[in-house]
Amino acid sequence: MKKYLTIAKNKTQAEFSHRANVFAYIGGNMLDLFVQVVIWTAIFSSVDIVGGYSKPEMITYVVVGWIFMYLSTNYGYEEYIKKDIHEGKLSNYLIKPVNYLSYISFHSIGRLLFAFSIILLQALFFILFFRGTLIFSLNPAGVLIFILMFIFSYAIKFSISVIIGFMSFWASDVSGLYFALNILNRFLSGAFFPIAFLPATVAKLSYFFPFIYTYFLPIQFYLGKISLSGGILILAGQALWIAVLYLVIKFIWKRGLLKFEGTGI
Amino acid sequence: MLRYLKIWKIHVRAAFMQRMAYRLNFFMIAVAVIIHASITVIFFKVLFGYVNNIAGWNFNESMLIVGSFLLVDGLIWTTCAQLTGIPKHIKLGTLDGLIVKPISTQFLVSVFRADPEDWGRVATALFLLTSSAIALNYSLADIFSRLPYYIIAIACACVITYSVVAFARCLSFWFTEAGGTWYICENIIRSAGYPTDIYSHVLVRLLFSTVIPLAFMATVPAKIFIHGFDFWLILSSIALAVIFFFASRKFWKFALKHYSSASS
Repeated sequence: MKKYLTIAKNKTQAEFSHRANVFAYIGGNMLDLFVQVVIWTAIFSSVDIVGGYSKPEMITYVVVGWIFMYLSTNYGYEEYIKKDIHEGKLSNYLIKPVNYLSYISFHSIGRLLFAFSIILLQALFFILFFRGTLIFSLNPAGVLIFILMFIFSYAIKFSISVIIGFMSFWASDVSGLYFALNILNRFLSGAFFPIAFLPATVAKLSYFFPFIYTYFLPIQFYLGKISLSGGILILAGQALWIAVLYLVIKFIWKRGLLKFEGTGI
Repeated sequence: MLRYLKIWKIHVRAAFMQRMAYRLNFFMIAVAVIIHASITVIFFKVLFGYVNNIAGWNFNESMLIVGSFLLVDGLIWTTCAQLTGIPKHIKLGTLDGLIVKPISTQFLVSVFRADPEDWGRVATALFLLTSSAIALNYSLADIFSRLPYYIIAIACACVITYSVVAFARCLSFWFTEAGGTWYICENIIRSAGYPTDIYSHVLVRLLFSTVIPLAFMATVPAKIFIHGFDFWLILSSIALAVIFFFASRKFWKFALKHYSSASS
């Protein structure tokens, strides 16, 4: 366990070494959220309710959703794994007493810890800035469930990244798959706009994908549109998806290793 | 000039051949690009189910902004792929090989990559513009009388966008990890897809008309398409395009002086 914690620690330290880049990302994040808030403010200047959302609910959906999404994002591990496979670096891990999946998971946690410190600072700023508009509706049990939803969302997104990355055992370029899935993810997770805005058939369809559990449902829970027992059901749904994705990862990892040629050794 | 055009054509062909080596991947990206472009349309379609206008723009007029934005964005991706070549060449040190070539280095790094799948974005934009013009009941005479000015506005928007991207990419000469600066730039460009009239604060409007000329990337071309010739809008577009292009050129030359090769 100690070796994996060291991996996470090293990654956090490495991320902090590019401070200018970090500040630029903060600036970009601010701008991203600023534009979304401005758009919704302009829309709510002429109506009180849009798709069942009041202005405070929509601003909360955007701001809390933004924080939730960026905290649970895994930052391109598909590309990382692809490089390890195509450049033969994977061989290094295979001969060492480390489990590659654990290695990559802790590497990602190291990045998450770094992202946490940065995004929490921004989140604090946003919460103070929008304090008159944001909705704070959770009780202690709700907070606990919401934190668990965040952890599970992260695990779902990370698992999808790993699966795409492992596709590199067979495909020379997985950027198309990654790009397409990323668009699908943002659309079906409700990151572009709430799923409730979509036609009923598309909205129903989105429940068959794991993406909705990584944004829309947790934020609905946060807004109080889903009850505590509903929140537990969401957690169960997330856990089920994590289990399914884990089995898929294990399956393609075994198959992929048979295909792996160790290029670069 | 002809030589530059020839080199650009060669790069475009090479990029296409490179993409065709992995056809399934190309197909997936192309489809995703069209879906991505369509999501903005869906977003507006949904919104206009609840409101009649956003900052004074009705649905079809808003689609002209979205169409203009997709057109500019698509053209930038298909011709120079948002200058992704600059940070890559700096990081790998391969810029050395380009500096010694008897042609403008800025041109070479600009055309280094062209993404053919983004023609899908351009096609979506043209479809949107045409369907919006029809929905707005414009006659052919109306369209053809406005088209030359619209093309000028779009050309200026492309130059402005290119220049803003060049500024952001050139920061890679100082920072090895400059993904963050690109992220800012990407968000700036993306926000041009909405009517800049939504920014009600006078300072923000001034900022997005001059320092970061967001308004001239899509909203102004759409206004010209709707209202026809507007001397001040056309003049401002051309002036901003010239200023931004020469400023980015100057910045490129300044940044190039700070280049320290990574490999040789």
